[in-house]
Amino acid sequence: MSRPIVTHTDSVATLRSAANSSGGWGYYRGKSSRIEPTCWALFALSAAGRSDLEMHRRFLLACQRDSGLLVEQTALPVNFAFNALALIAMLRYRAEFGDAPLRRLHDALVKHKGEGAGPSPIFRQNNALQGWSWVEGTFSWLEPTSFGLLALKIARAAGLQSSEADARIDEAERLLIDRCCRNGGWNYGNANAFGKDLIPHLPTTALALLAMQNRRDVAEVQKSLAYLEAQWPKESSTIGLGLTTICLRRHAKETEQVTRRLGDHMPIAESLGNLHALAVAHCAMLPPDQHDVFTV
Amino acid sequence: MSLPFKPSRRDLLKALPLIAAASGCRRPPYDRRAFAVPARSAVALLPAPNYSVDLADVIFRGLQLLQPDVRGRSVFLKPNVVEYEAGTVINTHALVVAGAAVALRRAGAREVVVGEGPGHRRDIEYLLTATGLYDQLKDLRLRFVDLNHDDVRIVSLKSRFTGLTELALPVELLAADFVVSVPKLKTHHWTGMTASMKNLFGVVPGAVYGWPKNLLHYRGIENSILDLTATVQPHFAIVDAIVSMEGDGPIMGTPRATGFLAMGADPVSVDATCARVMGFEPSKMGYLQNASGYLGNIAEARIDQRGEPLSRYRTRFEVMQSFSGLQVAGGA
Repeated sequence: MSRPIVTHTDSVATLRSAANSSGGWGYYRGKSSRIEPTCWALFALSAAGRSDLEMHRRFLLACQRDSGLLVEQTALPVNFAFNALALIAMLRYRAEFGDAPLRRLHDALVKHKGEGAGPSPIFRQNNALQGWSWVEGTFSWLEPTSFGLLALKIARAAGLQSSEADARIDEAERLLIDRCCRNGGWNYGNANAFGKDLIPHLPTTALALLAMQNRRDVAEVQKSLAYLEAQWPKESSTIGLGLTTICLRRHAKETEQVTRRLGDHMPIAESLGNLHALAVAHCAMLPPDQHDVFTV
Repeated sequence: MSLPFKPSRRDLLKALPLIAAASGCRRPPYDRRAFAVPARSAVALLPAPNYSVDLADVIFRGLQLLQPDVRGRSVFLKPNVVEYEAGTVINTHALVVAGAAVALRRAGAREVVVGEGPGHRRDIEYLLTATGLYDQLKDLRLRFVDLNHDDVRIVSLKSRFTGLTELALPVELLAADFVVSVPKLKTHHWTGMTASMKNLFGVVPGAVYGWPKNLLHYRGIENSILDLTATVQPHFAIVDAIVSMEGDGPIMGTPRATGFLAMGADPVSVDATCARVMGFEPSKMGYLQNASGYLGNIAEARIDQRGEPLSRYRTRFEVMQSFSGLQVAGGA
């Protein structure tokens, strides 16, 4: 007899009870509130109603600075990947956050670019392309670029349009296509170095595919989707399987088996106290009427 | 893979004030009075032909030879776990981490905690399970700290080779009484080699500075190694050189059986000894040469060899062409 799939409602209550009094969630149980796990927890709670969002909303808004960008402490660098995630959260709960903070964040994200660079004999890629960097003054990497691209596409679908945002979307798509590994999938950075092909990873591939969900015409997207479908049975992490589930769903693929494997791995995330991973997993298990969090 | 391009003009421009300070004024970017290089440093080389031997026993013998005082102290083990691919030797072997934990408990440590902040794959659950470290942690009831996502505290850097004055570092690392760097011995395509000092890149929290700790690359990898070692000041090093990596390390290189563990309280002398094993001249390596001025010893004459003699393991690692100049002329 097959094991039952862990359902979304099984432990959302646990996730809710792990919130800090500040309204945010830490990456791990007992740790201070951070932007990224708070956003994922908010996505995971999508199905639980909006009546008690106020304290969580307050945490994110308290992180928003004059620049429009969010950071937990002013002395720390702004993380652009997590700001893109915060924009998606604000769009998800637009009525609760209001348009002003959302537009300020959106405009700040449109303005930020990762550092470009000239050609290099070490990396066969177009270093001039600029997506998003993790932090100011550094190179454009796969994850922040995927999050930034996804956020701007969701914002565009929600009516936040500008030619500047369109240009960023276009360049970020070109960057992701440029960095795709030879046989599909994405490494966290480059596709090659020192004349050798680098290996793709599952979570980064799922993220990039999520950001490219409306570009299934692109060959790199097709071969990366094939890579993801072939590789997820070998994945052994809650976040990797959670992102894969979310991604495959957006690409209209079957997700029952991967969700079952995700359920098998969640006890490991539980044992590590990894609230970030649990929130991603719960988000992946949202009921069908709540699957539109990442729709572009 | 780490760097999009070689640190060059941009890095050079950023480093210019430091270069001027170092060469023009002859004033190094640290306060000499804050550091005390020991007159002599002891480094133990312990034979371990493979991972099946009782590594706790081997490491405990090393502790007996070197006598670090861990009694009643909270010990933080920092292995090198970067990314995983079957059949490669990228990471510190899980059995070395487990052996170190058992040996340190046997030596009287009050608590042993393991922590790492991988510089490439940020998904720690994947790395722990894929490398087998999760099973070891579970069996030994060891607590694990994800240094990429821990709470942080801003600390002043004790040297300023990078030009940075402070960094946010994980609170669990800062709270430990006794920090042990537990790296894998590998060649490194930006610095020549990586061992106990370069391993400290993993304490820099990715959730704050991003991956692959790109800020440190822009500030100069060798500069960052120096500032991190000066600031974290690891109390001890245990290097997994049972199977090392040569060639295009630290990810794409090839395994090289070397059959030993290197241990010592001076990470600079431990790394200098490992460099000699690999066939490098430590004084030709920028960060080791700079470290010898304030952090530890690299001169062979100042290092007391314990356990096996260096000559037993001295060899010549395959290196990328750009690092052939670091090699000792004539080979092993």
